[in-house]
Amino acid sequence: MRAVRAMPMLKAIASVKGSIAGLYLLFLIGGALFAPWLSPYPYDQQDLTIMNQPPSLTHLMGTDEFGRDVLSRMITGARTSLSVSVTAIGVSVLSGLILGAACGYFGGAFDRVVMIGVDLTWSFPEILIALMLVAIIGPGLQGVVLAIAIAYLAQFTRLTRTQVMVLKGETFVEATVNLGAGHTHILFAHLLPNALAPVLVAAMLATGDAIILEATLGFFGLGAQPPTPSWGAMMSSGTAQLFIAPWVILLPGLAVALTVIFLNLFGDAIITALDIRTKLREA
Amino acid sequence: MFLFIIKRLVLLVPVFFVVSLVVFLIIHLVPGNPIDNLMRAGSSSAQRVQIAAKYGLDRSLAEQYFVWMSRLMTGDLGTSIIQGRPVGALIARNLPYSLQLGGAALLFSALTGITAGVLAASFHGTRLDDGISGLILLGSTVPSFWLGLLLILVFAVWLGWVPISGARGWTSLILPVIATGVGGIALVARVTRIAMIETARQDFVMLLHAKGLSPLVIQLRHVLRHALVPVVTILALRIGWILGGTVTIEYVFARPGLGSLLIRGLNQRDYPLVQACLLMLAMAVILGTLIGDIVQAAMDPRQREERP
Amino acid sequence: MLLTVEGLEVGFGAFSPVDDVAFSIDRGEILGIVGESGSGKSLTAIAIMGLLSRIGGRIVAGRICFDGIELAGLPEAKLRRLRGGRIALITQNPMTSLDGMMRVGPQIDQAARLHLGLDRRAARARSLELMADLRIPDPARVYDLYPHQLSGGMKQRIVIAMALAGDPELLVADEPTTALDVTVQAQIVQILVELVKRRGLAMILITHDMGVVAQTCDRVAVMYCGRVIERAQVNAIFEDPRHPYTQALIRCIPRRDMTRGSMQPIPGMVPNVANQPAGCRFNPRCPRVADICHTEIPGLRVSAGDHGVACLRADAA
Repeated sequence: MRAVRAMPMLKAIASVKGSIAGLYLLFLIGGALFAPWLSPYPYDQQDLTIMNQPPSLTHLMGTDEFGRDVLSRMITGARTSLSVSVTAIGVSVLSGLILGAACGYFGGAFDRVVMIGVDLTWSFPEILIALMLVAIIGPGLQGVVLAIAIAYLAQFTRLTRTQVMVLKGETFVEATVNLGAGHTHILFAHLLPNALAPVLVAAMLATGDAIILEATLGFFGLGAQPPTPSWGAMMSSGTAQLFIAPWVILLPGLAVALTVIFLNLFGDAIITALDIRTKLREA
Repeated sequence: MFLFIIKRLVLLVPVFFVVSLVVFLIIHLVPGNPIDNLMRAGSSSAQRVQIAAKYGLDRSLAEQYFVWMSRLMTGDLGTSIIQGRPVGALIARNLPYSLQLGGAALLFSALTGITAGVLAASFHGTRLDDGISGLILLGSTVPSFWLGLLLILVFAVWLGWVPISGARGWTSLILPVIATGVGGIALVARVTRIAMIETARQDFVMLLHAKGLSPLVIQLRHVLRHALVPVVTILALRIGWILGGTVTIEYVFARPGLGSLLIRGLNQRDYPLVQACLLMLAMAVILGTLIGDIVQAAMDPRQREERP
Repeated sequence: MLLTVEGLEVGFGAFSPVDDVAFSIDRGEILGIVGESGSGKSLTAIAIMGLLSRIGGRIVAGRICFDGIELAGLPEAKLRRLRGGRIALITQNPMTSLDGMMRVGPQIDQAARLHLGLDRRAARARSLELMADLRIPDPARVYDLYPHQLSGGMKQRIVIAMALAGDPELLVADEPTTALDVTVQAQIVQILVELVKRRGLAMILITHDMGVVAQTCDRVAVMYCGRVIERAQVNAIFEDPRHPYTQALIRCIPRRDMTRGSMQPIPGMVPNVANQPAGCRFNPRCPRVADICHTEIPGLRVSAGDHGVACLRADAA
């Protein structure tokens, strides 16, 4: 069983859409990892003599209001945006897995209380939840990570819970119970590994949403604080220059959109390869 | 049906109290004393006590909640700390703008989304379906504030067709409605498409074809009617999304509204204002969900007749 | 003959779940098509209705001739004028055959308005008349009800009324009683037989129930794996079944004089469409199988009394 796990990934990459998306994501992650070496200029090097210059050969994506190279800031911004989103969703998935598994496995009053909370946050837009949380925690990257993590907690908790509840009724679990296995063993050795696939795919799709959320919070000035670039923060400081230097805003937005699209396409390819569409819809 | 609505309204009362408590607690869990924000450097501790007393911040949390709630019951939402004006009046002035934008955006995304979904489903598996699905994916991946900025740049700055910002005249509503609605279109179209395709597979549709009805009549008069039930459910559940969208868009277009008020309140740590805005948004979400439930029940004869 | 089907082959992708099917039916007649599920009998019905494209299939070969009109290859617009008008369908499951969000009356009206050109009031009057005819109590009240408020038997009567609304000449009834309670089944079958005799309709009754066939049909076609393997007058089928499959089917009918354990199920399973045996498709289950059955596909050989059988060893037993 375990050895076959890698197959869907390969199948996903083998599809045309999946391979293009995978290539883009690989390229992006590479760029983020090696940002300091790839950037043509230091991301915070100001040169007021070349303010708001349109894209040219020396500055492929132009310069911003402080004469900083936009391409370098985009590459470093990818690093911030990706790490914030991935960390936040990682935290969210982990907590959601634990909470959802506990709800689905034990049920009862604990499950009901958690689900009331989940349902309450479910109908609220993530951006409102995140805004409230950033207001509490305070602006900055930690605040954003925590806000995004909590904003998506409901989704992963619900998904894991449904999966675990479905799996719980299946015969192989009953058989394990009859063999005298403990709760922890059943939960961690049997239920969670089987519930994992749909949760991970949902996580990949949510990472796209998280990138948008990070950009939005950054745009409100609540994310990365200057001079650290993130795609959202770049657009925030660029608003004033919208009419003179639109590329400062358009390019990071385009990067966000492209990344989210490719994350979606890749996720979709994996869903098809794993054949778990119905599982995802159940939740 | 009437009783069903009354029952749902009564159920709202405890929900309202829970939500109000959550909103109240969130605001009061904020680290940093609100009084610090009110004090200018060099204020004496006597002034501090005075200010705390003025806003009731010297009392216990339970007392503060009780005072807040009892005032709320009489329609008094408190006084804005920064602007020094009654919060009720601020909200009353801003709320119509938000309702206008939210309502128009909801309508826009529902109509466009349903149309797109019907087209995609009717031409299932063709290039048109792929094209619409592609556009839908694109629409759900673009940050709405960025789309707003892009629209401003193209239609207000370069083409000069509509005002850049503000809320004067209906033309100033066009771009914000599009920017807010695009995310909703994607959602509605996706649900409509899937629901239409799944309904079309049911037995009764085959029998409708066997009657010799035209595919267009079958799609619009029968299949769409079934498909609209989940669409309305999703719209009701996600009314919050649209409202959340307005918060961002109001800020981008410098429109007055609840969102702008909330963002300003958050930046200024103006508690009474933030509390009231959040409560308003929360109530809007809850009421929207309720309306969606009622519409859905009214649409489906099985639910309409079985619920007393 | 009102309807003649010849050499009909229905294709889905690379497979042909219906192959070389032939039968005919005239006004005032009931033709039973019998077979297990997967024998292609429902697909034959859908092919006659011209609805194969709805489920991704197509007519590969053969003719479906209805009153001089060739249905195979007829343009969709012309087919639509026949569907629900001169040819009507009664489906298997009344629970899912009606639009749950529409009152039942207007659902009956539709065909009359479309094919007879009646206005709303005339269509309604006609529907009420049909409903009374089908012994639906209090038609004016039932007219305004939703499907979920009716019992299964009532719903099937509505489905029949829907089929009759366009004043058809040919009724295609695809297992019209399978989803109903036993007592209700008998009522519905009786209603259908009466209709045929009184209105001079032709009806193709698709079923897997040999008992229903014995009670109602004039002629029978037995299908197995997409082919007609035996075709005859109803008494010839029951008194002188020649194909081993037909013989086995008849042995499966429960009778009063049966002792416990004397019922003989047919051994083996219906083979999958993608996995048909070579030669005669019945050969894995056949008691009198011979070498030739593995190499040659038997065609329908018609003898005296229009009794056709597709078995290479029909004379062996």
